[in-house]
Amino acid sequence: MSLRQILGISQRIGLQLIRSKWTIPYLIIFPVFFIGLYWFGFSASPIGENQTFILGILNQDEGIPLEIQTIFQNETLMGNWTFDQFHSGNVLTEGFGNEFISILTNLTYSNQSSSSLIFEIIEFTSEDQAESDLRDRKVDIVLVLPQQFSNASLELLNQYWKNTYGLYLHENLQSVDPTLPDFPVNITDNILIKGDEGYLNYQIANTILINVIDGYLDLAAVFKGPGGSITFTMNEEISVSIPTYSLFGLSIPGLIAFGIIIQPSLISLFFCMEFRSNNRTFDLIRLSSSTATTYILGTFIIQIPVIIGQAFLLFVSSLLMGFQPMGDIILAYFISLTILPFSASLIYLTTAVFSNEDVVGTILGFGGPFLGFMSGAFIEVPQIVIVKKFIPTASGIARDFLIWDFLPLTHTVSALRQVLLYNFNISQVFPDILMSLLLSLGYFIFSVSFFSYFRFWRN
Amino acid sequence: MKKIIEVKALKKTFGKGKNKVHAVQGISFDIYDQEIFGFLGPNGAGKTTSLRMIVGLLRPDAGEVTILGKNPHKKDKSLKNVLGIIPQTPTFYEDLTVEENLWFLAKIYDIPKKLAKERIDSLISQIGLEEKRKTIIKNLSGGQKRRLNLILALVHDPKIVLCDEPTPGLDPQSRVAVWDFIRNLPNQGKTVILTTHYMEEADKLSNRVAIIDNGKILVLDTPKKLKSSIGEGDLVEIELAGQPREKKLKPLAAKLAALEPPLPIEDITISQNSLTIRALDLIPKLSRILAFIEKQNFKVGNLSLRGTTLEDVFINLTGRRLRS
Repeated sequence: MSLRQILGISQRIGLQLIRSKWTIPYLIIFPVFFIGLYWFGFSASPIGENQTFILGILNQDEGIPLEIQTIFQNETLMGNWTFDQFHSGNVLTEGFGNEFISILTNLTYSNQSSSSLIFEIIEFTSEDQAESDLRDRKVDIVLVLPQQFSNASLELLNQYWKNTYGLYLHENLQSVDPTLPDFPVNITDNILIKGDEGYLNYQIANTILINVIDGYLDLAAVFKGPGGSITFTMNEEISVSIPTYSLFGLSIPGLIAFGIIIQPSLISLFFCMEFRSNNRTFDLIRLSSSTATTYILGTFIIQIPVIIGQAFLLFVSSLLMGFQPMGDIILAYFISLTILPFSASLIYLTTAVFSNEDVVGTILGFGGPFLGFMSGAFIEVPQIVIVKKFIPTASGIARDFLIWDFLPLTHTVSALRQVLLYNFNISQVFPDILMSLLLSLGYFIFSVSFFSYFRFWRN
Repeated sequence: MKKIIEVKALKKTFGKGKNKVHAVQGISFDIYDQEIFGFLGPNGAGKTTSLRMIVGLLRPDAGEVTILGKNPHKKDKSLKNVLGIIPQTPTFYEDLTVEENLWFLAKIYDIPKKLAKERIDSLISQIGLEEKRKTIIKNLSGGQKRRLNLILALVHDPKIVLCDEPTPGLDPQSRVAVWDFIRNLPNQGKTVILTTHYMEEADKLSNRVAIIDNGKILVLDTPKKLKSSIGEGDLVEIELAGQPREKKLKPLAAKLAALEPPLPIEDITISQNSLTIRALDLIPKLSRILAFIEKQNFKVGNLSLRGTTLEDVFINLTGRRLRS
């Protein structure tokens, strides 16, 4: 196997792609048409407007004893802080958990004409009951506030105040002690949100909840009060930007992942031309020193730019048609590319068995949507558990490994959803990215071996 | 002469149960350096299957093949680039140019750029497609495509060239051009294995011919010896009008053979509605033969007089024509 041989294959397929009258227009039009079709069908009526979601809460928060002096030394603290104890400087016993539940209970669609509540709260005392009600769809989503919720919240506030003081220190507040300790705790590490990612109500409720949590973390405004005192104000009315997602918007992560995996059906048309039973070009290749790996690498080189380009066009089309991502779209783009080896493996697996490019194209054309459905890209999938609490999540609590988790696409869709709809960062979606990439590579290696044996060498 | 290929008791079966087909049933032969070895037989006789097993593209159920002393089924790297196959179906990509197709194969065979260019130029020149080198294949004529198909297998300058039915569907002029091309290959140091169901092609090109039918080699020798093996003399092929059944022709043939005074006839073969009569000094005897046939209430539909061909050898061996 040599580079010359690999590039020979690439060049041949590349020339065929370019020369084919319909390939390039198809590659450009497909993403726009595909996303456009969904936009046309599902964007007209936004969903979730004024809908009240049933939020199950398991509040395990133990609260935290708090003495104001320990934080601010001799400074006077004023403001409209919700806790009476906080105002008076006494010990805080109620905890941030109840405070947060209170905020969630009173949240309304303030940006809507209606003032209906966003959440109907059901409080649970047992995790099993919460999960049982979640499975039975008695609740749309479950929020678990952990034992250390208050502690973590306070540490986060301290960090915020310290940073703010640091900023003010050099201006007017010379007397304030800037030597507060660092508090590296991230409150989101301790909050657990549970639900079925394929369930539409969960998707919308989760999007809102994530926004509420973000707002809560951004809760303190600091300004200089009269007489040189400092006032801390917690935003009682958390400004929650509730995205008016339509079914179109919620479908985008699934559509993008699906759009990438159905591309092999096109590449396969050029890949397996040799395998037709009446075409003996493959004989010439097999008589050379080229191997199956040469052949696959040559094809893969062409697939890389095609799929990178397709993913890019799918994202751009989504944005142009009004999709508003909540998270980092660049991160989402790179997540979508983790599916590339899996996408390629579909070609090798199919062409190892079938020798007619039309049959292969048809199988991949139907197989793509099938995989899309199985991975929960479009609809909810049944919870068929293989291993309980196996996959690590951002919350630190492992989730069940379902039968669909054998598909890398499941993890790609999940990671895309979390980033695009729920504004998760890379560390939070890392387990899914890793699973997507590892499984994708696993399928790729298996497909190469399968192709090598059943197509290239079996005679 | 040096042995290039040794084939021993090669067998191949396809299908299972009622659909089981014994494509090749224990063939054995040797092929020598720089000879053209012909495989002659009707369609489905097992020629292509044998060829594919010989070069390592198809695994035999039993038997052994060695090429230059090595087993082609053991992925021996030293055998790579030694073999070139000219299949009966096109091996090029219709949407690439003549030159691009050749460059693709040159790269697949890992030929250095400079050497590849020399070979490509030379091969294009040999088949007279210089002016078409930048033409997309689908814009070439059928004959030009067939000529291109010949050279695709030669870009890597293989020692052994396998030509699988190289001329079906070709006009006579193109066929002669292809024959000249193949005939010239041993002069370039190449050994050629040719499969064909055209007896004339096997006769004119091959140094030795193996006649194969139902997966078995019936005879193997030089075309001259094969033809002489069925007897001396010329042949007259008499096709009888009205499609008489073969069983009605057998008594006619017997009566002709026993005619008094004797003709004499060397041999009479029946195939479908034809009688093929071989005799020494045939032409003076022809009027008597035809008169006798008419007298037996048969009508002569067609008649041809010719020398012995490999088809006659095949008919002699199988009772069937190559085309049937």
